[in-house]
Amino acid sequence: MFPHERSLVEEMKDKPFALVGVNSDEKDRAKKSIADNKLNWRSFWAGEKRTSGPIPAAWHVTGWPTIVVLDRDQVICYRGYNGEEATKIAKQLVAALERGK
Amino acid sequence: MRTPIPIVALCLYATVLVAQDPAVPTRASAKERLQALQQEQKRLTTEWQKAIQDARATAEAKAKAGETVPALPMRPDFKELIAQAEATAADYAGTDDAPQFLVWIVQTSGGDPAPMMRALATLAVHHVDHPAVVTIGRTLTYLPQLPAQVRGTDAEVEAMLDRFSKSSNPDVRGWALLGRYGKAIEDAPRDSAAYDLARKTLLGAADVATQKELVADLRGCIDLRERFAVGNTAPEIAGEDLDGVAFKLSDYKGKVVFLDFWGDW
Repeated sequence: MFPHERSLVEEMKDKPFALVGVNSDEKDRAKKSIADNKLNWRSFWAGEKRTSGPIPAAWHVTGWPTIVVLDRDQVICYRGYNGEEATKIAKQLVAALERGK
Repeated sequence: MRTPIPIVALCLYATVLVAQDPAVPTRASAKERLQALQQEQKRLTTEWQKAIQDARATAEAKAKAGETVPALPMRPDFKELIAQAEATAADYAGTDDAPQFLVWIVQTSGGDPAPMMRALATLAVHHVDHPAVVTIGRTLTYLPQLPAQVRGTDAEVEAMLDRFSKSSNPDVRGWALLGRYGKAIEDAPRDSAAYDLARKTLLGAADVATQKELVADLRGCIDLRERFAVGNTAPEIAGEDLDGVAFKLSDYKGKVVFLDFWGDW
């Protein structure tokens, strides 16, 4: 999982794109994971209730990881477990933005 | 002088004889038999945990020596215990003592779903009002997702869930209805009669359910479909990052957002 996200962030770094996480680990564990794996995106912390924290609960996230892709107006364009599909859709949206659509 | 004592003694003796007759299980022994079952389950679990620990310790050494590492059982082997529980449930068939054994079977049969399905079938036909049934409520929501060769046809699953949905317990009804109509909420076209029926049924169930997680699931599956569908605008997230600094999802407007719910656990 991590190599894919890391390289996606690198690839898109000068484009209108942001990878934003919602992390459900214990805080110390999350920070260690980020340091060890050189993770390069910002994450909301789900809180002490972790996978049952207020953000995952509000979004009805039951399977982990779940990916949601939003367009520039924060309209939902994908929601699911397929990272490849999500990446494809995200790249299509970014390309359309860059073409000035 | 004739005394009534011998007759009284005879009656008492006869009563004691019947109470000890092994062909007539008593209420007290059902409780004891359940406890014995649970104790044996605990013993088998402890044994399995130790076996896993031992295997892990030798696995490292074996791997280093280039030897193959044997596969570890993923869970304790409860097959015999489950067979025992089925036999005990049969002893109490049709009585209020059967459900606790049937519920135990549903909770315990991890590897082989067949005993679970048999126990659920019996509970559905004879025991939907028994208080023990609510403890396996959530299992009812998984039934439609099991492979057909395990759970039977769609019609058979629906019939089973319909029986549970007539329980006198509002939470058993709620779990059964979630199992019955959850898929329609996920898949049926939004403007279809099937969707409307599912929606009305689940919201009605949420109004009378008492278990918080059940109410959340009943309302949440509808919310997920209606508010988080492709084409909807995402709700705001206002939270803190891992350094405690506040930020919002709307900070990223103007960019494509890849929102990743993740964890290292």
